[in-house]
Amino acid sequence: MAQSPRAVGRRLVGRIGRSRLLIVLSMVGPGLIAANAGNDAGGITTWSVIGSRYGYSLIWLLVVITPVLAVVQEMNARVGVVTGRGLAGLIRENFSLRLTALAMLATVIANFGTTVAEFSGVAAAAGLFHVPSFVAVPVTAVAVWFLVTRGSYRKVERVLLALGFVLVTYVIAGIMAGPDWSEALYGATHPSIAWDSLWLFTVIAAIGTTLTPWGQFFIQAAVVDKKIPWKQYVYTKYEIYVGSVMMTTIDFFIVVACAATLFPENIVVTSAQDAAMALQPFLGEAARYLFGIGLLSVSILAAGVLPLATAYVVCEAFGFESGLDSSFREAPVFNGIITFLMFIPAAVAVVPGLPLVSVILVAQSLNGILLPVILIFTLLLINKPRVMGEHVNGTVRNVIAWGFTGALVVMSAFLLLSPLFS
Amino acid sequence: MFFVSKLLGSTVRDASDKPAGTLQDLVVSSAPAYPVVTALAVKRRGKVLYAAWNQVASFEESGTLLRATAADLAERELRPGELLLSATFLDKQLVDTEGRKVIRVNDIQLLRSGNEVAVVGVDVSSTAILRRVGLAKVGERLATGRQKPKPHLIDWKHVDVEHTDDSSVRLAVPQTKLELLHPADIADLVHELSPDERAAVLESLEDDLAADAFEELHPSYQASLLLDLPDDKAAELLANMSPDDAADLLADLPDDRRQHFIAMMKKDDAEDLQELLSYPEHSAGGIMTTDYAWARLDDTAEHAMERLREQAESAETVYYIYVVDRSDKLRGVFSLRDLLTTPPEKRVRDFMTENPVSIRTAGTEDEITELIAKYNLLALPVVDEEGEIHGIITVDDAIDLVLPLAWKKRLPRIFH
Repeated sequence: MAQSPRAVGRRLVGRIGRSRLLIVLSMVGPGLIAANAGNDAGGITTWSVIGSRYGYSLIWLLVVITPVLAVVQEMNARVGVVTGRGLAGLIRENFSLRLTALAMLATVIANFGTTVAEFSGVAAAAGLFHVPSFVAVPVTAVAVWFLVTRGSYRKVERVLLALGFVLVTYVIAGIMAGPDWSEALYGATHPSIAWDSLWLFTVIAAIGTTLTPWGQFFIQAAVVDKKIPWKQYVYTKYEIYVGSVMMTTIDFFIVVACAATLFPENIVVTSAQDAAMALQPFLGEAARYLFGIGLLSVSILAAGVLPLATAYVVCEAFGFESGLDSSFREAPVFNGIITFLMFIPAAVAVVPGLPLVSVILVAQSLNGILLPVILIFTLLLINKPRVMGEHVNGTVRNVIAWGFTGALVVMSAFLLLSPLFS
Repeated sequence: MFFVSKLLGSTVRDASDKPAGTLQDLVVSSAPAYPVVTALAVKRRGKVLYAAWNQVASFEESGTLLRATAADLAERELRPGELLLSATFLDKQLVDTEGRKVIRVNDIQLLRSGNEVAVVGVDVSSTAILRRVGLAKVGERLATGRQKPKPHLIDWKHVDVEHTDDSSVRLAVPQTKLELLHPADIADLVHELSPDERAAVLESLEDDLAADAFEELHPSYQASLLLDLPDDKAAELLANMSPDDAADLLADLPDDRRQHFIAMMKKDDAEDLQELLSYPEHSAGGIMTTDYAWARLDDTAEHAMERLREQAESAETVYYIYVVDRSDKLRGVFSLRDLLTTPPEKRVRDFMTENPVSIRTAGTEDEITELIAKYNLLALPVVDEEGEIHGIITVDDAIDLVLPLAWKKRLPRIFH
């Protein structure tokens, strides 16, 4: 049944040509996906509010956050490559059970808040299409729950990722809005610090929407799953850097678009309608709908990923059975967390008269306040030679990451204590 | 019955009832089925000192009393066959061969028998977590009156310690116990492990079993796992896999690795694989396997039986025997039953069924399942334009085509 080599050669092309493409695509990996996933409902809303309330004056924040994001993401990716294990499992095996429980509690609370924000994003986007939230949110929650637990979420995910690219229109919108570039440059290079609670709240929200506890778990899990060998890690590292810059570049244009259109009119974003106006110079009347599609896609995407991610992380830490192929009876905790984190936040988001934008912002600053917990665990792990061997953190990275963590803790403390002073 | 977590950190007193330190860990012998505590590791003034078991007067959750004085405690190395119980196992992952899943050790259960204390089980319940976090009361309150929270214990004999590397976070895989499991169960277990551990487990299995388990793995893991194995092990795995699965796997490898593995194979196997690789993945040619049972038109039943004996080991199925002429054209088919009920001297062409149902190499998945379902076939032959047979598709592969959900549900651990 052997064939002439030429006949074989001719037919080889079809199948192998495609599989090589798949290999290349599979290399485009964790860094870029993580960056993309970062610009969710929370990201769009937070940076829109910042641009509309503070104009160009907070752009320096992006200049500071970008290297920190790159450093912190790289750390978790490196832990993943060196140990081949997830962050939750490492925390459990290297710290006491009490500390593990603390880390999990922080993660669950932060992810709960973020999922509320995502469903608020769904509600806000539905509003742009005149669909009431008590219809849109439950329908979305049930649909996403089915897709996630039935395991067919990945296909939908690609469509949503593609639709989320609508947000790239911000880059064009930002340029077409005719911003004052010299002011933008000034805002990027001259940190303006107003030490009041609204400012603190906004800055922590901006940090919390860019760097999240779940983002750290995510990038490490993604790297572990891709099984990147240390020799190829350098590519992953650069991909993370590129992804970080890409993410904050889009954020930059969101700020610029809002600062050029809304800030001069004294409109502070309080609804999706306001936020969509920033795209009008470019898209005209279509702005409302394109913005709605983009917001809806990124919100649904994250609303599916977050409960699933949380369930995996908690089960990894405590050794409960997990996996989408196990039934509710076999894996009660895993399925319970997914269901709870899907429907309770959805229920919160349909409360009538809920100030959606404020809810989203609160969830982002909650993430920012809880982020140090995960950062400290990562930093302690990455400095242990027993865990990392020769790949422990260098001085520069330690200074950046510890410094940032410390600053975030101080700002969070001031924010939480500020009601006492006023 | 008591738990290790409650003992750790308790006070150790010496013969004169003065505090000598706190209990840091238990030294156990790894040899018997239920390891016995042979010494205590006591933390005293920042140092870890050891007390032999015969120096222990009483050993309770409330504290330990020694027969010796604090000065008798000494530093020492662990002997071969000795392990630190909590450092090695507590909070680590283990394979539970009975429940066939990966578990995390939330607590370790001890049992007193006579003068000795033995390790008897692993607690994997959430009750153990709550107890160790100091929220045992909350656990009791959460559970309703009738359903008291119970430890979920796994017998120590199901979590062998053979392959434990004492300091690392490496997983303990009781190899001999794994080998008693069905390959599909091994694959399920392997899915739950981290990529490094997957390779380690497969490497520890016998070749045949490793190949069977490997075939059951999620396709997206197979390629990366194969690249992790030593070359000879990988080539052995490929050779032991059925050609259709091996071809699917090779197609996912980088060019140079694929050529490398094909070059390492026997010539016949390599040619079969090259052919399978040449068909599109979702066509009949891409799904089929090249190992089938065959006979010639002019064979007698007896002769056909001899051929079948030779082919039986490698053929995917022996229930259908395909009849081919000199140019490999498919002319007929007969079943094993036909062969058994036919007089030995009768010729194949006289008892075979002519014009068997077949499918072209370019046939689609829907056509395959339709034909197999309609004609109630155990296998479907695949032919080219000239009617030459190239392989068969068995009913189990066809089931995988209509039930892809079962695979899709096994998403990897990563959450995207």
